[in-house]
Amino acid sequence: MVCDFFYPQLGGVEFHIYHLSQKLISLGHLVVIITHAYGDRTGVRYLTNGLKVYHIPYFVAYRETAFPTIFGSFLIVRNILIREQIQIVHTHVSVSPLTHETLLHANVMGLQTLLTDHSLYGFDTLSEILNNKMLKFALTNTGAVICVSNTCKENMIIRSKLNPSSISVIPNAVVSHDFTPATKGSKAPGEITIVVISRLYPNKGADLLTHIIPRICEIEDKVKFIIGGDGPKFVDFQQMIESYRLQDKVQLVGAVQHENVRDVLCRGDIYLHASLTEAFGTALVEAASCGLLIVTTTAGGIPEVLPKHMTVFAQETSVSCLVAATRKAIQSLREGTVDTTSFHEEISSMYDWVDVAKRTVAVYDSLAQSPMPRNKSWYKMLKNFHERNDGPWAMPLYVLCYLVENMLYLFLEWWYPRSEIDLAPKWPINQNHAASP
Amino acid sequence: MTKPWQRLLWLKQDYPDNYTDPDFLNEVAKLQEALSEPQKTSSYAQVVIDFSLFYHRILNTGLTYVAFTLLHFYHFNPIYFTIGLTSFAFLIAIIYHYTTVQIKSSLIIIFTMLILSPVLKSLSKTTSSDSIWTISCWLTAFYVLSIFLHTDSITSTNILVANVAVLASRLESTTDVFCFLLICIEINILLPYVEQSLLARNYNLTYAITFCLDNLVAYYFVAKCLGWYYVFIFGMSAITFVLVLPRYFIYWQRNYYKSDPYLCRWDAKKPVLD
Repeated sequence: MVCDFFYPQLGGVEFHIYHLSQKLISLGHLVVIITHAYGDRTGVRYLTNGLKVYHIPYFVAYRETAFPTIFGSFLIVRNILIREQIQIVHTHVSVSPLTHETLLHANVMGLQTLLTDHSLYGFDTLSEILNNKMLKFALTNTGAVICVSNTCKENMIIRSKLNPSSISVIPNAVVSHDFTPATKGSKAPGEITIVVISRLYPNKGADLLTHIIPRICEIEDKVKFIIGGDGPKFVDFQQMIESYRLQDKVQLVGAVQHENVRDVLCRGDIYLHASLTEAFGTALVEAASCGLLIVTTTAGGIPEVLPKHMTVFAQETSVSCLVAATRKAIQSLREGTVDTTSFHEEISSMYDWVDVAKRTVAVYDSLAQSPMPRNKSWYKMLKNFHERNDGPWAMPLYVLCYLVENMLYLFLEWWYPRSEIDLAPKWPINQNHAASP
Repeated sequence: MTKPWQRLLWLKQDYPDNYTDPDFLNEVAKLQEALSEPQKTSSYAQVVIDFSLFYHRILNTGLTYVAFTLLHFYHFNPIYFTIGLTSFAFLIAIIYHYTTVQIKSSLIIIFTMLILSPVLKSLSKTTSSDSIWTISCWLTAFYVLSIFLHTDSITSTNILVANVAVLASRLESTTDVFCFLLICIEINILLPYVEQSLLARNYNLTYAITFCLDNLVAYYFVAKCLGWYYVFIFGMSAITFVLVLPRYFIYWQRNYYKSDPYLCRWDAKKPVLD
């Protein structure tokens, strides 16, 4: 597993990599994670169940992504891949330079490669154009791609011009026993609490929320809000409370640690999600797992994530639509037309990391079946780059980079031969654990 | 008979994960069609005009250095020129805005500058000339950038005054500093303003004449001071900027700018605050 983003940073991608690795270990695979150094967290670290993490000391360029150098990481990545006797290189996130570089290195070394993408991207800003070019370069010889939703798959096809059948859709999952519903009964009858937990950024719909909340408080009585999360729009929420005098109706709890998210969610009945862009929406699944009714926009991949009876959709990202949807949800809760008690069971049967791991292993197996030596011969890969034909500048650049990479590889094989690299002892597989994941 | 594929993640379906439904493929085909369709581009003439407007602003900035060189190296007496230019500016302001000329505030600004001139002259006196040239060069670059980014912002005026303050300490007398400050403000703030209002009122011929005059002054001065070789370099750069770069701009617009609403579905949606 390779990604710029990993523990100690916390987020959707980081949890995805962690949980997937844990489940792969319990299925009897050996997993090593490569990421860059975070502060003083450098070198090799072990996490639960012998999950080995290499923190490569790298210069961090922008928002925790490593400085892109194309060839710079080859020496150390090659050493790690040989040391750990890696067969499959699984990279994450299509905007991480470490991801792109490792894909190139692993391909030149003749290993199986795949990429999981977690987000949606556009086409028409300079950074997006550049990143899409890099992505096309990195994916030219990559065996498979996994996307977290069908919308993400569409986006990936357009961005990378790959064959659709090489892209699998495997959603995220939740650890459902961490998100159990509350034992109800302590609340006043008829009172509804609406929970919002999100980073308070403009693209998460913070502006919409600061308009929706006062309006709902004005129309509906006995409605309370709990808002979790921090971000640049936090001040706007404080101002909203001040100017509409909502101190006893709206509670701002600030940033919520991941382990406390469940407790905050369980204090509510409705989860309000006003995000303007979303590839998958793990937060929605977590909230539904806690037995909350979901009110959400239809941005990105959200409509695919949850069945209809758990959600109330607002068709447009407008204040009036979201207010109407929220009122509909409040009404149906008061009339008792939705039963939220079954949500937890349903979610735990829908989204499970073991299932995700098994489906990922199926992708690995399909890679292993592909005609291996023919696909990864250097001439075939060079031909692939040539056939990409991606504009007058990109194509020669691709070919040039690839040739330089090949020469570097030959040089390294001579200068630091495989036979001189120590093989790392493997963490003993816990047979009992492996038998019953 | 298997159930038809549905575009849902929560449903466990009897299809492999890399299954691609014909419906899905149709959708993708439509997207690819939208992607490959030639995008609407701006007309070449319009882009050339926009580029020349920006080139004109850069030229006006260059005139600052013409004024500075005249004062600093050629010890040109700026008093008559400044009086002439300022009266001309007032005249134009009166012609354009009739009664709304704010004589009082203009006078206040002029007197403030008069008071500040000795301060500006001594402010960076101890700094070496090389440092001054370097700082001034960077300030000019930032000034051009600030014009490029926000045309209505106060930032560009601040950078301009900072540049003048840095250069002022190299001048000989307080009078020179005052005149230089006034000339700079007239050239960089009032002149572009007048030129833009010329364009806005469709006095295109007058605008073209000022444009040519600006060019003439700048290039004549470059030829005088640095020689024809530099005129050639500057001229070719200007022609490339005004005539060739727009072609490249349109190429980018055609190939990379995706205005099709169909392709914006992955962008963050706009919040409607109704």
